[in-house]
Parts: sequence; structure tokens; C-alpha cells
Amino acid sequence: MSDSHIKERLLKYFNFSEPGSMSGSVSLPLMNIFQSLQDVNDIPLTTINLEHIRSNDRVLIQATVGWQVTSTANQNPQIGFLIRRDGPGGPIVFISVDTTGNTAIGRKYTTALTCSETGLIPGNHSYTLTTVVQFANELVITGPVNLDAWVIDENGT
Amino acid sequence: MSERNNKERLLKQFNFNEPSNIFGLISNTMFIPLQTASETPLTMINLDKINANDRVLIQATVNWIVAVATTEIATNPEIRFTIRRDNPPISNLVFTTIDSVGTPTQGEATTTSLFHSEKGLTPGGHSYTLSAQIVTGTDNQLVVVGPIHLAGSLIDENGT
Repeated sequence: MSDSHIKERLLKYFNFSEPGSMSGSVSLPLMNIFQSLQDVNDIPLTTINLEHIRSNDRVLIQATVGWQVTSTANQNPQIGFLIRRDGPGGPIVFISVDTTGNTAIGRKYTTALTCSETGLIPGNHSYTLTTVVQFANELVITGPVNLDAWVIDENGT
Repeated sequence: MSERNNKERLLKQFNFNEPSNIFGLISNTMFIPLQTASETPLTMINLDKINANDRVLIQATVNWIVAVATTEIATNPEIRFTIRRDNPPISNLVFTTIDSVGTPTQGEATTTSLFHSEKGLTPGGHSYTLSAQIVTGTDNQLVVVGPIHLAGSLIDENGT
């Protein structure tokens, strides 16, 4: 008991944004075309802000998105999800790509992702979840859309 | 300030390893063909000073692709991800999950995320290794291309 005052308390800050919590709560047709890392042309889904970050802190990001097939023009179209720091045009922190296993119209999918980073410039940072598709007008974001992040102190503090 | 001593502060330790953060087919940073007869380690993390009542939460995300031509794919390939504690490849298997593609096409990418929790560990330090293996298909048919992310949180017992 005597050491309770020196217990670890690493979770310093938590924030989330969930513009849609259920399948069908969002309707965002995806027109943007996946080109290359230099021409990603992704569109934002939601953003969260984190404050008082120090350079040794770790940021853990989690996201879940529901999406749907709306065309069979191309087989198994791919969809990319990105995490960007400090605005929709900011540095890319993470890119994860998922695919329809079957292009039947109306088929629904869930993509979940997790990523972490450290060594940030101290202060406040925002994180934006964005998406990009391989072919225009074939996939739609249907919800849910959830983005959350933990700011975690260095171990041993 | 006076109530600080009563506050819950459960997260005791956190570690992550992210050997790749950008989808491999556009960053060209990673290409790990998988096998049917053995698990291929992808990354690992360490957690130390674990108490018996602590809980461990493991989170991972991996991107993988179908690597061979569509015409060569006889069946829908399946991939198995495993979490092993301490000394892989033989030691404690604590989690497996299997994912697959529906109608595979060459270069098709899939994101797999997984979450595992456990408690009642032997006190001390433990490592966790994320591995992947082909369970339906042929060698090199599926390839991990990144990103790969593995994170571990050590969480104290509630009410402390």
C-alpha cells in the first residue's frame, strides 16, 4: 500500500470521434482514385485532437470503418485507409489496404486497424482518418466510423 | 489534487513494434512470403514486471496479399495468425485466428486486425511474438507486405 503513490499511470489522454456508430449511419460514395504514395488523393472521414504530448510519449491509434460494394464494374476493388497527422494534408502515419472478397452489390465489410508512433514534436497534434479507393464509384462508406487514440507516457514514470 | 491517491491508474506499461507502417505494394519496404509447414515470425514485443493479477492486452494489424496469378489459385487460401508467449516457435500458443479471401485475385490486399487478452501469468517478464502461416494453400501463395503493428498493454487489477 505504501507505494501506491508511485504506481504507474501511463494513460495521459484519450480522445475519440465516432461520427457513425452503426452500419448504414453514414453514406459517403468514394470517387477518389488510388494512384501512388505521391498522389494518394485521400478524403477525410474524421479527426481527433490530442494535447500535451511529449516527445517520449507513445500514441496508440485505433479505427473501425464499415463499407459496402455498390458496383461490379471491377473485380475485388481495393480500399485504403490512412492515418495522417496534423490535418488532411499532413504526414502519413499509416496506410492499410483491404479488399472485397466478393464483388456482389450490397456486400458489406468491416476494416479495423491499429497503429502506434512515438518521437513526436511536443505539443498538440491531430490525427485524421482518411480513405482512398482503387476505382471510382464502386465502394461507399456506410458506417460505423470510429477513430480513437491514447497518449501513453513513457514506461517507468 | 487531494483525490489523486484515489484515482484509478491501471495502465502500467505499454510497448509496441511497427516494422512497417505503409502498405507494402506502394512503399516497397517489406515482402515476407508465408509457408504451409511453419510459422513465420513477423514481430515481437516485451513486457516486464508483470504481476499475477495483471491483465495483458495485445493488439495487432497486418496487411497481406495474394501473390500468385489468379489462374494458379485452386482454392481460397487461408492465413493463420498466432500469438505466442516467450520462446517461439514451440512455446505457449496463446491466440490464433484465421482469415481468408473470398474470390482471390493477384495482388489483392487484406487488412487483418486482432485483439487478445490474458491474465494469470507467471510474474516477471514475458515476450509476445506475432507469426503468420498458410493453412490452406501452397507455399508463397500469401505474402505479408506490411504494415505490421503489434502493441501490448499491461493493465493493473481493477480497484487499485
